[in-house]
Amino acid sequence: MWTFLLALLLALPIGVAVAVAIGIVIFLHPDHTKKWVATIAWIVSVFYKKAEYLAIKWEIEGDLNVFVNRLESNIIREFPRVSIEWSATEDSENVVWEENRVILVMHDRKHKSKNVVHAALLFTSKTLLQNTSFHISKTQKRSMELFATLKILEQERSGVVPQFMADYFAPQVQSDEALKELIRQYTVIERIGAFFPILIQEIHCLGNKVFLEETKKEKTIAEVKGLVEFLIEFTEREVGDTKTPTTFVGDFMRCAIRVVASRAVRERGDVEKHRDDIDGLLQRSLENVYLIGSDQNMNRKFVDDVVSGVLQDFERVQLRKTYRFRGKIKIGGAWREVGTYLVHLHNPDAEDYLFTKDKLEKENARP
Amino acid sequence: MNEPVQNIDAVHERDLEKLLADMGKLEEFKQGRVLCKFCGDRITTANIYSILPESGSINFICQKPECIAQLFEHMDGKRPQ
Repeated sequence: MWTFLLALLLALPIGVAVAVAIGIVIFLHPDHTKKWVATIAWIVSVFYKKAEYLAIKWEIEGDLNVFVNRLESNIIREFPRVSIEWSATEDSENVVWEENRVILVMHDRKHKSKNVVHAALLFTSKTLLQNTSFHISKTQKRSMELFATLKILEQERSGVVPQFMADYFAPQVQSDEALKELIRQYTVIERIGAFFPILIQEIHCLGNKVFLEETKKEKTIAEVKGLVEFLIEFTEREVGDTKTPTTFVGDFMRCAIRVVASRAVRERGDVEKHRDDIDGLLQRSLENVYLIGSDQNMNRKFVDDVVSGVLQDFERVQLRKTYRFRGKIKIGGAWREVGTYLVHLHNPDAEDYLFTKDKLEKENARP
Repeated sequence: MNEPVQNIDAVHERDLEKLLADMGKLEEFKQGRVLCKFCGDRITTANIYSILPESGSINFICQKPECIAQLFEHMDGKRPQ
């Protein structure tokens, strides 16, 4: 197809060819295009005030939707694209507002950084972490909102990070030791690239689950704490460490994480032990099982062999994603850059949203 | 290209008076009688974060980090935005 397109462009007059090439870029990258157009619209708005509407709208939509695209390439969940809808404008007679819908107030060009920060905060809370207040503590949610928003802004609009840090992040985190500790933990987890692909993905899923009959909040809070601690132990493990737990099971999150990184086991070629253990996890109707380990060729091949065995045992289980991150682990007490290999297995038969007490006990009692 | 869309309702500060007039809150706002739902501070064009129409009343939220955080907690469990 690309050869055909190139031949077509070469056959066209230069002006038309440039226009077609621009059209193709816009079609393939609409959100990146919005970011560029927003930049131009901000310049135009110096002379023509109404261009500010387009600049604000497309700057925010471009930033957040490019982030969503990037996020979806690293996790299996799909998130909605953001669209800014004006409740009232200079030109329109109509004023539109509804009960229970937050209306963000956008500021003029002098405070345009605030617009992006405010929209990113709302997006993080209402989209990435929607409904999670039912299952996690206020401090857990606030810390994830702040850290996730920071990561979004760092990736998409690094120029507004100083404003976000000064106005929102620092005032909240500096004065709250619990918040500070959780942010420290996320920083450690992000070192191996697992903050969004594992932690946020699982917390997002948890937000959509309803546990009937009993209030389980203190238990789900403890489970999320356990997941964070497990990821930290994995991140901070020394090479050759055999004491750190190798499996985390989330009874409420309905997920498991299995570390596949032992050199001794790998050198013995002992695929069966991992395969049997993961089969056992899948029999417990866990929705997602993550295998995580070193990205060295030998280890990656070993993980792939384990996954092949598991997929033979469970025909319905899907290999949804494999990721390779740059990360850091301790070797002889010093941090060394290494890669992390993460495989995401998904069990569609275990996807569920309503849990009775009996059902949870039954699932968790399985081997 | 058929991804779901999440609308974020917004108003430019230049159009704030028009929206507030429609909501019947313009005079209160001009007289400085509109307060933040969470901290009780006076709401101005410079410190407003958002407006939340709710249960027949109009709530205002200021830009303080703790008030924004409280708004998000408050909104969980309400209809998705």
